[in-house]
Amino acid sequence: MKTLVLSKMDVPGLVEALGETARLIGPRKKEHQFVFGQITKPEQLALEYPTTILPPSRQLFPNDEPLVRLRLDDVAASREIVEGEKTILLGVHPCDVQGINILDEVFSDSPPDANYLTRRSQTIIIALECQAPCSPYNLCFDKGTYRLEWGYDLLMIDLGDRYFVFTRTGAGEELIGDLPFFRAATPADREALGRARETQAGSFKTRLAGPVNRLPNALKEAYDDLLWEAVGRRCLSCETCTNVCPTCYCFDVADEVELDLVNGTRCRQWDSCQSCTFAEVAGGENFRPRPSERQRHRLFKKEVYQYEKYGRSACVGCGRCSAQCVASIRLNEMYNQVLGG
Amino acid sequence: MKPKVGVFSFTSCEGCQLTILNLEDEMLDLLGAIEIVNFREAIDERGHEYDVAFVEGSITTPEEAEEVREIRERTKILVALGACATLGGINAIKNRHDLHQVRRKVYGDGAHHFPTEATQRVRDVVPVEYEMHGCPISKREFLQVTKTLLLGRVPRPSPHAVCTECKTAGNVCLFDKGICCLGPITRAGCGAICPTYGGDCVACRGLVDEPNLASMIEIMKSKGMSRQEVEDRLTQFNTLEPVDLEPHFSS
Ligand code: SF4
Ligand code: SF4
Repeated sequence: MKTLVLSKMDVPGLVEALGETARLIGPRKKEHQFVFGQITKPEQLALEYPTTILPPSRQLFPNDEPLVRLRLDDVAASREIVEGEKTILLGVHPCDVQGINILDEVFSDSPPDANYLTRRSQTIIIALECQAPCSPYNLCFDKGTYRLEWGYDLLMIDLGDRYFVFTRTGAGEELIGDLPFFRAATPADREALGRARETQAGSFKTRLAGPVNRLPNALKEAYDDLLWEAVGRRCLSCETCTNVCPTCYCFDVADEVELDLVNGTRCRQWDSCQSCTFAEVAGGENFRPRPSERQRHRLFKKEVYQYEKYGRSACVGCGRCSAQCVASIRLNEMYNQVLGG
Repeated sequence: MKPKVGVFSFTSCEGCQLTILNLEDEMLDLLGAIEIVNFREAIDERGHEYDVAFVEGSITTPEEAEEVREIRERTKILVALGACATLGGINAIKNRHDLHQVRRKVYGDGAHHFPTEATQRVRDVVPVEYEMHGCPISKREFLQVTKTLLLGRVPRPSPHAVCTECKTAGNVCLFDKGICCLGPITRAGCGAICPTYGGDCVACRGLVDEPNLASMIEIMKSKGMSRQEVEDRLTQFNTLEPVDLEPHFSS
């Protein structure tokens, strides 16, 4: 691991240099909010952003992704489509890095997802720590994701006029290897880093009424709680909470043919456990017909089922689901209800 | 033999037909796959039997009801095209008023020459195999549905809300800009075109299968909308989906 320093004045030069080696994706301003998008000019990059509408993990798992080029007249001539290109994700907050860590684990699980993993293997992640919480809803302090030790290739920490940079992987070191924008960190930089981290630690606070590791059991105990009915009455089943989640990965698959009725494409679209047809099976049976059951399932999937399968939570505490819910359904409030807060 | 297709129009602005005619890039391929035998806006009539009839517009006069029944008899598959046909749409706003007054207002002293009935959706008059929503319909959905029918399969309307397409597009939610949008309860399929260009969704594609209207109305109220405003918004395209506002506004 190397410790380096990047002056903010050199960021435009870095952006141009990185853009020449790979597709560069970073936070961009969109009206009064932010989105991850391609950066082709330095002025498009908005590194000082609270959070984005969609998480960067969605860049690795795009909606409407083609999977198979179909031949309806000759199925054997159908060809799978696996695409990827060298990509740099710049300015990824630690919670979102953890979102990608989780997708890495899920999509590597058997059967491995060639489309995701191919794209992922060609992606370099430059993380950026947050100096303060981005919304009243994020749980990154409770979830331990406001700082992260792994999952990125480079990590940047804002020191005001410059960034402190840790290299985490060989790929990260190689990426900035010959670039003239980085210098070795000095004792003064290290001191500044210490101060920045102190301020940072002071600005993040717990929002939960109990320890996160009680969530799996607390949720199980609350399986029949009236909370779900109350939430279900408000939920619109609009699917926003899952579409904006960095760790949601459900998808549907659909074929589309061309007008020759011979050639076609099989694509996957993001899907959501909040849709009223998600749990509908052959014969019309629906095993989660009510919004209350679907909301409960969402929380159980994050805190119970994935905990039982992978030994970790699948909620990284980014706060997007709470912040973007039109019906003001807040994850932190639901967690606190089951934790007895 | 290519399937025979007819395109018909009742009470509407005919914008959905125009959407078909505007398929400039795909038109030659489309005509390679189907034979259009009846399309007043585009060609002289060439036949009276159809494999697929696309019917635009709502049914607002006795003659229209008669005509659409006749089309039903001559076609194997009938697809209702656009909000007027699938929802009653804007034409159904008159159903909220006294029809005699409506006639007088539009036709003045000559009103008695123009019989008008309460607006009906196509499916209120004849059975319909598929409803293609939208004001106007989306080109993409028209092509998808046509191809699905040509393959002998059953097209599926989107089960999702407009919000899903809006999120996919990475839009700033209009609620975050203080604008009340009907995207959360409206059936997707348009690609969230209105929110993408800054306009609120007006539910021209009808409501999702299980709209949570009670919650939506409470949200609209919390944004400061009056009973009249809520009613106007919810009925702009969806008068024929009765909503009971009483429990939400009786104090
Ligand atoms: S964003 Fe809110 S209203 Fe929409 S499905 Fe999620 S919890 Fe329900
Ligand atoms: S702008 Fe409308 S359609 Fe888009 S996410 Fe917000 S409520 Fe949904």
